[in-house]
Amino acid sequence: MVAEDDAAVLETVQVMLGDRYDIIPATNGEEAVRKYKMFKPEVVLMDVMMPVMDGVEATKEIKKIDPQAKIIGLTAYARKKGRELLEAGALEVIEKPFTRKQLIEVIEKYLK
Amino acid sequence: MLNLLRELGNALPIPFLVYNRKGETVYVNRAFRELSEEISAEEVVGKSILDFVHLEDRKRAKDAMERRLAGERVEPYSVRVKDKYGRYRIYQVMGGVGQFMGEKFGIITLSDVTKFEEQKVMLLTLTRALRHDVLNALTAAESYLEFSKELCGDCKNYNLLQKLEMSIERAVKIIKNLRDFEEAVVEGKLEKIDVRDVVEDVAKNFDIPVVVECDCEVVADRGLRTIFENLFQNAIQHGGTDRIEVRMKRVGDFCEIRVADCGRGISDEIKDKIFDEGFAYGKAASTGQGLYLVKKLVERYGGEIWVENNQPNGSVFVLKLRSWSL
Repeated sequence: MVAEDDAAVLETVQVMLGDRYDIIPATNGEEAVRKYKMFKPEVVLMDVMMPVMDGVEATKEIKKIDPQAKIIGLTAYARKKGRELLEAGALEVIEKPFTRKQLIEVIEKYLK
Repeated sequence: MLNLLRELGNALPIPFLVYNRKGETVYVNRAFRELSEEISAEEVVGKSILDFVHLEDRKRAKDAMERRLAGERVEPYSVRVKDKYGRYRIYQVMGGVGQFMGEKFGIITLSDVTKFEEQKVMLLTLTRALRHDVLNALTAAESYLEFSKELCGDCKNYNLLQKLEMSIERAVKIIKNLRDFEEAVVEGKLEKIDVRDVVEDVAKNFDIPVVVECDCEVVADRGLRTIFENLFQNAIQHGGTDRIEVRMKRVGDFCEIRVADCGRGISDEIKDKIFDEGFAYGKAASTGQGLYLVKKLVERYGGEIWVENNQPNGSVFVLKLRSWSL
């Protein structure tokens, strides 16, 4: 699952990864939590800054539902936000802009 | 004599108060009394000033007052105090210690920085939103560029795509420098930092050997990491060095850190300009923000930075930072 409110970034992640994985898009944290319950994705790419519910809150909610959830943070924001995401339960945080190679490496690491 | 001091205190337009070892206020000047309807001289004298400070700021203010009397260095800090209209205003607190009849007294002054703090928050919010949106746009641009390069293979326009990639990288660097600068200036109080730990950690991100000699604990924050990242990056990118040496030694109350490379060096004609904002030079010119950011950080730590020639070739950036154990 990719939770990202920026349409251009969401689209590029889908283009980058669409040939390797089935992707469930979510455009805010609340949608991400709802779709996590429905689809139980193997890995979640979670943006920090999103409307309705931000990535930190969404990560906390998903971890409550499934403590084993594999969440990887995406951030264009300050490192402080990245740290908050880690404290909320994300496994690691990738800074924007990221490359296809970076994303695939990190996803594969946690799919194993 | 005491009456004279009291008169002088009342004439000062800046609010200040004097407190004793127990934290009790022994004197407030007229400007201080005018801060709040709640604070009258009769009320405050003999009590702790902390009673008038916002609940969330009390512990920090109490610690600062005690540390000051214990002879420790206390950096200026902000507290919220209720004004005569019942609104909290933000004051920057600075202080000192005096001795009278064998007893120590703490002195603190309050400067109203409410407007400045409000503007700072507004500016920060705008900057963060802008940075977030620009980085998102660059993420999309970089991803499509990656695909374009794959599709292009070794087509004749590949060099144009490489130039586009360089432009995107440059834009990303500008945004990240902005973030580093903001974090360094806005966030955090200064603390004890082990320079060797920082240098060794930063060195892991570079492919050339970085030799570290000795150790120092200085007054800084995590911006020190940004300083070494920029100096190492410059030594490689602009100087073309294949090794870096970092040597430290204590000089009086300061720690002198010498970051030496054996690259091409910096010509005398530009030595006094390299720390200027936007100064970029030569083929490998970058954003012109890196060394400006370094200088601003060093100044924030109360230190100095300059550049010397290395022998037989290369440059030495000398950082003079305040030692922690002052």
